[in-house]
Amino acid sequence: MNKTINIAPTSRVEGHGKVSLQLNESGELIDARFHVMEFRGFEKFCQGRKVWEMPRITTRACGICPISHHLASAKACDDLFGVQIPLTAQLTRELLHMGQIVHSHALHFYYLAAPDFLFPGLEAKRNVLGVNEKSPDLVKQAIELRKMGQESNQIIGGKAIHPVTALPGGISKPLTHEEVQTLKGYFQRALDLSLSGLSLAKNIFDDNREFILNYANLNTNFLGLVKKGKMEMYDGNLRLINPHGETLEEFNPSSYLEHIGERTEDWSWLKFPFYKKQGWPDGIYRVGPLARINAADEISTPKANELLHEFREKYGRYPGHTLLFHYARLIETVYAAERALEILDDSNLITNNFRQKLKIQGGEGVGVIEAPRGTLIHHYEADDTGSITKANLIVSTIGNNPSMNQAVLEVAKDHIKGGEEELSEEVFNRIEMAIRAHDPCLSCATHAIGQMPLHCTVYNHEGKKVSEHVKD
Amino acid sequence: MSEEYNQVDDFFEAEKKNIDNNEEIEFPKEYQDQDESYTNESESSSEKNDDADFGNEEEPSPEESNQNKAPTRKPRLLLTALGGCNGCHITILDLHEELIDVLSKFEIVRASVIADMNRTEIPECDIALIEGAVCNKENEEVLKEIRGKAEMLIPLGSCACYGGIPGLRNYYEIDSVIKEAYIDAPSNVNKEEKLPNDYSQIPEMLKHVKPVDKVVNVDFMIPGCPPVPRVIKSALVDILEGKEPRLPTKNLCDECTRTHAEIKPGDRSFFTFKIDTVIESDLDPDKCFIEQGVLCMGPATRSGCEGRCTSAGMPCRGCMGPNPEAIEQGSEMSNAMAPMLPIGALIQKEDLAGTFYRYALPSSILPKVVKGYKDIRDYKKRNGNNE
Repeated sequence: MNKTINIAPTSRVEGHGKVSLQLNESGELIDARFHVMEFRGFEKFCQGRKVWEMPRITTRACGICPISHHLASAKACDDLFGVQIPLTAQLTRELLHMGQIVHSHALHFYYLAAPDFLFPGLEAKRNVLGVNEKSPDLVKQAIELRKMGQESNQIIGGKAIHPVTALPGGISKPLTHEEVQTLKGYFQRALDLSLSGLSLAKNIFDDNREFILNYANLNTNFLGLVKKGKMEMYDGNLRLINPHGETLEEFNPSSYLEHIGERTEDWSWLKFPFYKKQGWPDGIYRVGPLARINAADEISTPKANELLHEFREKYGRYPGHTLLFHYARLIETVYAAERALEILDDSNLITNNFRQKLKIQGGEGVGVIEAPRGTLIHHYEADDTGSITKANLIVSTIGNNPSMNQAVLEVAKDHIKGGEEELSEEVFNRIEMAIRAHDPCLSCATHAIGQMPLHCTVYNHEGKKVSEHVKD
Repeated sequence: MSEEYNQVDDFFEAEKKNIDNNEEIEFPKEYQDQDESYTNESESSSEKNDDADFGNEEEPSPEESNQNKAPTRKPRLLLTALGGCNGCHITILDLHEELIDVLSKFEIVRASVIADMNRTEIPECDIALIEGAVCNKENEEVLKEIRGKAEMLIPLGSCACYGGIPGLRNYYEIDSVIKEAYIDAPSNVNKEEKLPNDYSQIPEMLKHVKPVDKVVNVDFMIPGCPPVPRVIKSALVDILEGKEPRLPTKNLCDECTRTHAEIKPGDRSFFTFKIDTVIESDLDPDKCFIEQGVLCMGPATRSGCEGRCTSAGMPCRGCMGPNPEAIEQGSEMSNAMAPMLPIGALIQKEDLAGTFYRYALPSSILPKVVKGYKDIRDYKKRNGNNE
């Protein structure tokens, strides 16, 4: 029998992240588990729904990245109907996706992660209102950057949260010329803000270089979409590389079942994916910003690519340091704004050919997209009346589930030595940072919930609770 | 602010009647008159938002807005999420520049998205905004505890109000829902058929998803998937001013900008004999969807969402939930469709169970679908009358 330490949101509060640490008889840490508390069951209740309704149902998997689900779903439907959507539709959808990357990355870095860096230790201030007191300009910038993303999403998607305009065969409405002008203004501003945000953040990363390099450096594979070797968010092949950068696979997303498997554990509602050929646990991979920039050779837009090279000079070509997710996230924000501006200059963006009408049919389809948090897979089967008979969702946060457990274990190992049963505030915060760096969107993941209220409990080798630490 | 929101309706009364033991809401006096300039101030800043020039925003600083008589105490606000997608929390952030302004009117005692505070217990609060449906046993316990500590409890968003999309799982037995996700889904590698069932570590799922008001009494509802940020703000402002917040009571068609024919009483002809799904239809951008033979939930859905979907070229799917006068959304929709569209063709083409009840199945008066029972009486006998 071993001891366990648990980290979760208070005794009974809010079904969010919860961590337990397992000690052996001599008080050494042997295992860390990140429990996910919620489950909603999309795989089942999508059955019987009509395939063309899926882009509007699956958005509700996540309120932070609904656009990813909307688009992955629409792509899976296109695949099922065997339709090549018009270029206008493709560009408009990708533009919508860029708006979401700006919003989601800005939300994560400024609202959730930055307070950690700005207020080490000052618990009461670690929130957006606290940041507002200390640095109102930063908050203004953050709010504005997010706003640029969300306002664009509102225009392109009809609704910023739970958009509606993508449907099988294309989009429901093309943009107007006025809208394109407005959007150009938004994305130009987003580009300026993300560049100035990054230069500010660079100082933080430089000041904390030692800490970053010694903090949860994991050896995992990386998975991300690439298009001709370059980083891609909307459409391309999936590339899986090992920690040294050797390509293990580069495959068309529709063959994902050959490469990706998912395990279930009795202590979490979140599943654990892995690369089938290497098996479990060797086949653990990571997804998301760091995985994407590692898997890609380059970035297609100039400013982001320059930043990528600077990043690689500082940290190496295939770094596995957990906190570098933050840095990568900011580079991607620049990419998203630049890519959006490219799309807005494309003459194919506004045409009358934005949707192909379809006939109801059955079949099978897979849609893959790089959501802000990583590779997102939707896979449907439908009968001849267009009713869904099978739906499978592998969401982004699931991709990082195994590595979040590893990161927590790494961090805790450094701090929990033999016999030590009390968790200090510092250890607790470090554990939390490891999870936060992955930006887990748990609502998405259990097709479940949460920001980061955390509850950590230590169990001894007899399974008795020896200490507990709680944060909402 | 649109006139809709100022209209005095019977909605609030009607809503109250639905709630057992509902006590008269009395908001503590000290919050009233607290900040009379609030409405004007926020209105002026929302005007600014319409201005496309983002470079020159001048927001009133928190000091300025607090210059009025110092309130004895700010109302304590609690935000929490049960089984949902967090979209309602995010939609609050979509107040953008107004966010800081609105939030600084309150003392935030718990809010996992925007704040980070050390507390081991659910704190006492004046207003609790609850997002998400009650999906598992932990949700249920947390909700009851919050009700005990909150002066006023408000479900935020359609999951909390009606069950929402997670509520669609009420069409299935929970065991089959879990089995599908962890055993039958094609990417699973789970020969030993392991399930997440260590309930000492994770919460057990409820047999059925429930809306908040089936577990505790509620004082008001803010529906929408997600609710419009402006609606949340105006509700909060009303509460701050000691007024009862109000919601529109008309249906979406009233708010929809598409052209539609007037239906004369006694007119027995259908609009169309052909039903088109969205993928087959031409989707005329200006004409009523139903008149084009496309299923649209407008007639059975509460207005107040600003018709965002219908103006973006897609039919309504009912996310604002039923009109307060309707007994429930699905049957209201069946009634509405009967004189307008050929129901046989509709049944053949569309998934009515999943569309008519997409957001409001758990609050429907229809008995739950449960496998393994002879009928609803059998079910009640073996489970008690509560589920």
